[in-house]
Amino acid sequence: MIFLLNDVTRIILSIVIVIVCVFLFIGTYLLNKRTKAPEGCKDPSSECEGCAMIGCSKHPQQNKEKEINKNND
Amino acid sequence: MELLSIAFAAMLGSNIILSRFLGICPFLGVTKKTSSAVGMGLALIAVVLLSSIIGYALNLLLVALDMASYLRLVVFILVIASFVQLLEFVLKRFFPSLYKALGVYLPLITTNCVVLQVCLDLVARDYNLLQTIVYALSTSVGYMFIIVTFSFIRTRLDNQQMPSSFKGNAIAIITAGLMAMAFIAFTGFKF
Repeated sequence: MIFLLNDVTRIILSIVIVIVCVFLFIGTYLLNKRTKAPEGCKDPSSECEGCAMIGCSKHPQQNKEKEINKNND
Repeated sequence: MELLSIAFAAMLGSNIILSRFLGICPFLGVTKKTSSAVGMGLALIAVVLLSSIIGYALNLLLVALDMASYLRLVVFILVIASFVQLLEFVLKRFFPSLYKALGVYLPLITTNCVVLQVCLDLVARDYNLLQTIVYALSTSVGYMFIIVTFSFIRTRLDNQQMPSSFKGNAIAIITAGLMAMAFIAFTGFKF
């Protein structure tokens, strides 16, 4: 049945799929952020010494960059 | 037999780290300790398996809409990122002990290109659902096998004497190259 749709409907459906995925990400991100870590779990960033993945949000390099940006502001 | 061939090739013959050099950042980053490598491997197995099944279903939908070539990549990235967040939430809420073990490594998986490559491979190879599950599972198990093996080697390398220019990532990359050459022996096996 989906093959019988015209071009405009197919484009709208595709955009809806992408929007649903974006909202799914936002929803899961907020859900995760608002959930507290279980007792006894340390904050990962506090014990991270840094590895080869400097793009990771837990890497100490990220905190240094934030401090530099704050000082610049 | 076809499924066995897919599993063997994904795990050993065409191992995603040693033959395609994907996921090198965590391969070098988390293999300093064996416990870290096991945690990362387990988290990756869960994310790769489930995101590839969801990706497979979404790809079918996009193909039916004739939009797959434009939107596939965006949808896969969003699905993987969402799935990592969802998994972290579920572990925090319902499996705190597992969260303690894997919690640090879960956010790292979002940036692991192995997860995206498995989803793209499924499309390129035109696998069905069963083949998708076997391929995703065996690729991620193969990834875990290599990082855990490599962590054993690195632990022993730390105790060896070597010129200072070879210490750290330099000797790790040379070792990975030697491992890759050794694993070439597994290519060409057919069941």
